[in-house]
Amino acid sequence: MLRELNAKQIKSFTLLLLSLQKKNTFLGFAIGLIPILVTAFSIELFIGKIIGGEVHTNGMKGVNAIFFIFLSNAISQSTEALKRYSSIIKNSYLQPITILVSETVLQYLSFFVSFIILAIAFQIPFEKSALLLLLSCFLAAYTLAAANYLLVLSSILEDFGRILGIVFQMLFWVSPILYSIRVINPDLAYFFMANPFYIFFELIYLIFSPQAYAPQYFWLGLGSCFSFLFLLSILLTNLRKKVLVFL
Amino acid sequence: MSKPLVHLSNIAVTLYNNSSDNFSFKKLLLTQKFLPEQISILNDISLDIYEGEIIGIEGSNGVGKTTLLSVVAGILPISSGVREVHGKCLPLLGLGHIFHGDLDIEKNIELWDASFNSNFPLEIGFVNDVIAQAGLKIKKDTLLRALSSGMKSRLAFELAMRDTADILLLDEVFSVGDADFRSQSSQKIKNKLKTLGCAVIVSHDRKILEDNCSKIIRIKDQNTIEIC
Repeated sequence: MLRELNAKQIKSFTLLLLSLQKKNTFLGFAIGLIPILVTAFSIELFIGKIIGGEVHTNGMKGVNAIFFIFLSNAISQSTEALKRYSSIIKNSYLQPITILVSETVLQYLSFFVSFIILAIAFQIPFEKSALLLLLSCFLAAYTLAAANYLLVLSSILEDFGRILGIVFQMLFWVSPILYSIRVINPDLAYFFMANPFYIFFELIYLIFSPQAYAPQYFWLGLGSCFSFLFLLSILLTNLRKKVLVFL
Repeated sequence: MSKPLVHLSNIAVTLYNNSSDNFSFKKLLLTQKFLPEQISILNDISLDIYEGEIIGIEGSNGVGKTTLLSVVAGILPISSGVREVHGKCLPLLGLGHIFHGDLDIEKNIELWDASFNSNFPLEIGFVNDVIAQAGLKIKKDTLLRALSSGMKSRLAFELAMRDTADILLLDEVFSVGDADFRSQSSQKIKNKLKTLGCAVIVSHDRKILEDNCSKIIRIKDQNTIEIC
């Protein structure tokens, strides 16, 4: 993966993607933020309160929502983009990893601006905001690593995009976005912790409520997160090396 | 004898057959078959190309000519064998295939530059000069999808001639465009070939190969290359 990285190519391709997605103007970029912000504010102000009950920390459910939207969009858009630009990849030196990184950067940009808007709207303190942004950088690196392996499945299975959509729909409900894992029956909670992205929502919870730290939730979540990546690397590394022959 | 610029030794290329069968998760569940059927395109093929040589490749459709160029370019991975290439390659495996219809001409030139690591001086004067030299009467902000396939080929060819690659790999470049484009491009390519390390030209037109190449080889089947 690292051998394929070409900083100049990533920079140029990211700027071209910005044009292709019509996000290269203020208005175009702002229009792209509307669905993310509508979802985050709805979850924070209405849906989250109906389903997950009242929480005493302003903005946490909205932040959960934009973290989830970022990770699902980054993985699904970058793996789909590989198919979209496959004729260019097959006929030139445009690297699959360039497309992954560029798509992830654009998704992160949308996430970052959405986060700033939420932080201002819900008056999230500066230290907490800084920690959340640091966590988002780890999430970006994790999604990039996962997408790097998953892209080979996207090039083999033609319905991979639809499957990914279903998986993310399920992940939305088994991730503690609208509710806290602490209100669930502990036996059932372990099932939720098998979700590889659970740890990120646990960490968001701990940033907002550090006094609620529970070692079993933290370590099991972290274990699931790394186990998933390890499993992907074991199963898909060899195929990933040959991704160009599948395009 | 000096070291070859391109050295392929006993290479094999195996691809996955995606022409007749669509692979989906549903099919995986029904058949327990995850990967498409493998097909061998090239097997035990060796080829050396020395500085100053222009190799012509002919062969029937589907025999592996474009695959061989992709292997020389380093785009397609080989399943076995040795591939050594000394110098920067410019593979033109189909004029216009690396453009994007929703980008304008200027952005498509940027896309070419990023895709081939060409290091073009991407300023307005350069873009306008490329458009003029390609013989196109369009503006730099024209969307590529408004261009005909012949116009796209002219643009791609002009960009290829400005690239500073050492090894030029041309796949049926001469067969596109009108008669005017063909005669102009033939002359331009002859001039370009003088400054290159080496080149490989794939064509079905024997006359083009005889006019431009120092050696012509024929791919007979996946195992056999013969010098004509």
